[in-house]
Amino acid sequence: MSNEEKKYNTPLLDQLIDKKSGFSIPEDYFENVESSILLHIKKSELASNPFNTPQKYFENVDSRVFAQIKDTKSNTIFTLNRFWIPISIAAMLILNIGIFTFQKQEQSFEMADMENWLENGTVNLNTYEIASVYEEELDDIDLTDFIETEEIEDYLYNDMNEILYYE
Amino acid sequence: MEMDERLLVAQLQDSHTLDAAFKILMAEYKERLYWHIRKIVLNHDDTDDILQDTFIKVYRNIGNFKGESKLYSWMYRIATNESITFLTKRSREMKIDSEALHSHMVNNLTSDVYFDGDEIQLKLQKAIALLPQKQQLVFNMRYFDEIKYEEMSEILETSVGALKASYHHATKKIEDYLTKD
Repeated sequence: MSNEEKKYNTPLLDQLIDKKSGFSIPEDYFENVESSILLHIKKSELASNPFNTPQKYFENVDSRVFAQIKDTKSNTIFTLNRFWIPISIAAMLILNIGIFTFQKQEQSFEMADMENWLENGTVNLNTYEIASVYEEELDDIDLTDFIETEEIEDYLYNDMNEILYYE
Repeated sequence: MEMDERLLVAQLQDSHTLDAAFKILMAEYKERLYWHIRKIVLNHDDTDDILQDTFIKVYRNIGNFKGESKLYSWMYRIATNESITFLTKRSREMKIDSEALHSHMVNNLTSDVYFDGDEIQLKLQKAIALLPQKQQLVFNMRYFDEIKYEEMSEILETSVGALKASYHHATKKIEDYLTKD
């Protein structure tokens, strides 16, 4: 044994321990461990994914997805604008024309009817029909009020003369 | 690399002969790797898990083995890294540092059915637990596994001189610990 080797001998340790660690193993462990390892390998092969992806695919996929979303949004807005703006303009025009026409018709209708009514004397409203127009106003009138005869005579004399003057 | 080992590597790197060659590899190295891992993690069940993981990694990565070191050194390195990774993960899960973890593991040996050691062997484990991690590896690989310094240098990627010095310091500390009251 060389001096070098003697330098690293451990006689005291050998005396105390004698290269025994104290560890033990289950019976037949080494006989069975190989089959256990092979089974593990086969299982992991069956579970493994046979498909490959391009290099750095998963590093870039996020940015590509966001870029697509952005494009879709701007295309969608652009498409929406192209589609909806003319439609809404057309709708507004139609609506305005419709309202104008309807109002005109309403007026025409009113005027035509009114003229007919006046010419033909078909306006034949009785007092109850007139009263129905002024329902609310009539509700305010207290019919229990009694008007003195003198008041009536004064009214007829003074106010009626004025009405006659203005007719 | 020796001729036999070159042939074995060639068979391992050929898909047609991989399975058969891998069985030969396991038969040859399973015990050595097991005991190397066991001295790091101490517990049999954890060792079994790590041994399996080691061989699975060897199986999956043998195609990348370039033959720059011995096949055994390469496998030993994988086993060492897997063991250290396991301990790091375990200490993180338990929220304790590596020294506290090692003490905890040594204390568990007293109730471990797969530890038959006597008082002095238990004290040895306590002494080893007090060493820095690198010295623990060097001591176990040299004293129990009798791995040559040149091979150890390939496995631990440390110079032979540094390994020898590390071993000398480790044995001195252990002997002092074992002989004190």
